[in-house]
Amino acid sequence: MRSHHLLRWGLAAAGAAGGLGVALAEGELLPTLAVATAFGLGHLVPVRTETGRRQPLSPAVAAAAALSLSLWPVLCGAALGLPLGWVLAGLRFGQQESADVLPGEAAGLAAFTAVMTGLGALLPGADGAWAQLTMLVPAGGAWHLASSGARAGWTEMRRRFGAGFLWRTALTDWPAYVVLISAGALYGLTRESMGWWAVLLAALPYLFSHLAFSRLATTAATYEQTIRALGRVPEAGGFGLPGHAERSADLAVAIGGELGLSATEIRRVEHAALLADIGRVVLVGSARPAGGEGVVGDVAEWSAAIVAEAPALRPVAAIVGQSCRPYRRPGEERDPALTPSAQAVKVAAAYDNAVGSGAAPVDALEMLHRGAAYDFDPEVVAALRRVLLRRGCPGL
Amino acid sequence: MAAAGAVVLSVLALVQSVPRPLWLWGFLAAAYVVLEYSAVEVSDRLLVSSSVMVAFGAVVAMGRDSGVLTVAVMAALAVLHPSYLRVRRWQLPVANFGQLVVSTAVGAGLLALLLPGGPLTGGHIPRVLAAAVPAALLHDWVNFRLVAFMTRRFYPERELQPWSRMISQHVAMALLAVLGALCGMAYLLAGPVVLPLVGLTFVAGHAGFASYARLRRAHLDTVQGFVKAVEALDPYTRGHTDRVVYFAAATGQRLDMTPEQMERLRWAALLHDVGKLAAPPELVHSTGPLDEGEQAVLVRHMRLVEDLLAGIKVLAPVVEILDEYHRVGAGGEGRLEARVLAAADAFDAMTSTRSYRAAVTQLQAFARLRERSAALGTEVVEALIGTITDRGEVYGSPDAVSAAEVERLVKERVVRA
Repeated sequence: MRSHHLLRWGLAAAGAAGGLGVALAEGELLPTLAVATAFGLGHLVPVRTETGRRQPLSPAVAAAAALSLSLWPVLCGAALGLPLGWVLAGLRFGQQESADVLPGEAAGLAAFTAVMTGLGALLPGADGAWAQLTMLVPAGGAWHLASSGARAGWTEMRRRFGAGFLWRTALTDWPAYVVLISAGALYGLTRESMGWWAVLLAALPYLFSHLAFSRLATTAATYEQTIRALGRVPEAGGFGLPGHAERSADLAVAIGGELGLSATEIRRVEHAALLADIGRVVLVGSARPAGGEGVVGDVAEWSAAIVAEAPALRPVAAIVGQSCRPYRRPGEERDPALTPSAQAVKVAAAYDNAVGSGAAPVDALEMLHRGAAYDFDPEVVAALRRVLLRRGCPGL
Repeated sequence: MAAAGAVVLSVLALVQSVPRPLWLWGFLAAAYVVLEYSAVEVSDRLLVSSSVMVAFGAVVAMGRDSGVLTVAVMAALAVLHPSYLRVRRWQLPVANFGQLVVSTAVGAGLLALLLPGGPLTGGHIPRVLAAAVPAALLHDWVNFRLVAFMTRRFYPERELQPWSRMISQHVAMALLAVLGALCGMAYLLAGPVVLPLVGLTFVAGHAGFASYARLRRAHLDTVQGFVKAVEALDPYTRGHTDRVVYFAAATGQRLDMTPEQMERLRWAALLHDVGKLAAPPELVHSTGPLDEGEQAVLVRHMRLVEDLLAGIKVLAPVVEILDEYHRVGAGGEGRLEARVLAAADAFDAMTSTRSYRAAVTQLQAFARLRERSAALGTEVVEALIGTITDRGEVYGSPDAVSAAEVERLVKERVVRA
């Protein structure tokens, strides 16, 4: 952890010093400082993506600068501005939130510049507005892919979740990149003919999108918090293990990532794991026993019925409803209708219940392996094992 | 209305020239038609249709000679919505035709009048943007008057907010008009390359707002789903939350609460019983009225859930209201929203039959509410009573004889149990 921290600071300082040095040597100090300031300030007013991440305005600055300046001020400005922005973002939003920003932005910018330069060399006569706009499409895509990959590889979350899952999740942020590249290009392509009005032209549609994304991110966060709060209701009523819903959801998400589920499906898995026990409140209310083998199916059934009352959560309800079913029955093949999502929820909940009842992690895993003949899908149990190994679970 | 639209269109066809280039007109017309029926909720209950942006951009790009006709024809094309065709509602598109053509032509006409003569250059940008603001407000005002006229004619029971109180709507319209005019100038000065860029940025924002509205709906649905789960615990309270939301909202409206207060009140009414999910079943299913000690235990358990909800930033003010609502229920003090909620809850409880007692008549419930005026506030009690009386609605047992009969049946059931 400490070496990561030092590496980040070392790279940032080296980049800034290099950028400044080259700018001085090339005699491009003023444009470099202007670009660096834009990169730096762009970290203070980031756009919020649906996943809640703060994306700095760097792609917009890069697109605008690439269309209106020569190569050196852009590269030197970025080398100076990105570390500056990283520090500013750290001060404003906290070190924890800005930890993976710098590698993401640096990798994105490198890919963007490489594609723009490469296409410029391949098509030397393509300097019209439409040609430049066309070149921005692959360049922007390269930024998104590289930046998402770098963040997925660098983040501290790597200890909890697989890189593939993190990368797939990061790639769902593409609308923010479309907006940023478009706004930057709009400025770059109209600056000459419209002067400073080009700033307003780029800013107004951007602000519209910025407002939309910000509202969406806030509402998405509220929705998540509501589901988490409702998932904790059985615990608050004393009908379940404290923290069971949160822990199961965390494990189920990691298992879903290992199984290669899509980002949307993993969100459903998370919600299903959080709400899988909500039916206990009805079972307890109807004076039936709330625990034991016989009622597991009832809990899932009631939970699914309650969750299905919300139309938006019907796919989640389906996962909850299936989460009590064995993956195959004696003498039968694997049930094709049973989704991996439901199995991930089932395995995560069973593991947490075992550990919560006092079993050591290795014993809890052993218990799942014993049920692998019929109850628990061996592939899902293996995915859980990989997750626990990555997290450094003792005894494995 | 439709005739007025047709006259405007005919006059414009005579005095204006055909829009050129046609591909640009086609592109803008398609954008206008799509946006006209894709209004997005940019903040609570503020719906904005971005078609005005396209219309004003088209006037600037096409120029004074053909700009007004350009947008009037676009507006005429936008009258047929697929949903009208599905349900065969022909009256609405006919009326919409006139409303859209007239209001758009008036707004675009003023903008065209205010545009400088001759080819537009970069130096004209401030004047063009300034012209867009009064033109947008005129368009907005004419549109509002026409919609108000039609609403009063076809839906006399609907209440309309006065134009002067729709400030955020006017600001949004003016901003969109300025953006449209600026895009029109950008097209003239930098060429068609700006169109996909503005379009992409705008479409992404539009999609973001649409997702935001969907998610808000999903959030509300989710909470409502769990409220139904609470009500499933006790068949006697089925529908209670919906009715409390209704009474509270109607009372809040009569008390002229602000939109923010109304929003908090609705959420508080929706969540006021959700804490029962964590309450001991013997209290939730009690077949008799709860004594003070039991009531205190029930409230304590309900507060556990409310504390969980208080962790959600948006719901924290709502939980404060719930806290005060419990206090008002115990005879204490609370802000207006908490007192309205307590009055609505008490009224529905009194006029509904429970496992241990029958519903009272509406007049008896009013009398009991008036007895609690000191805690609930006279203005709140009278607003609730006034709302229900004015609407001609009747709740509870129809008369004292029926109430006594239901009471007898309830007691028999309790004895049998």
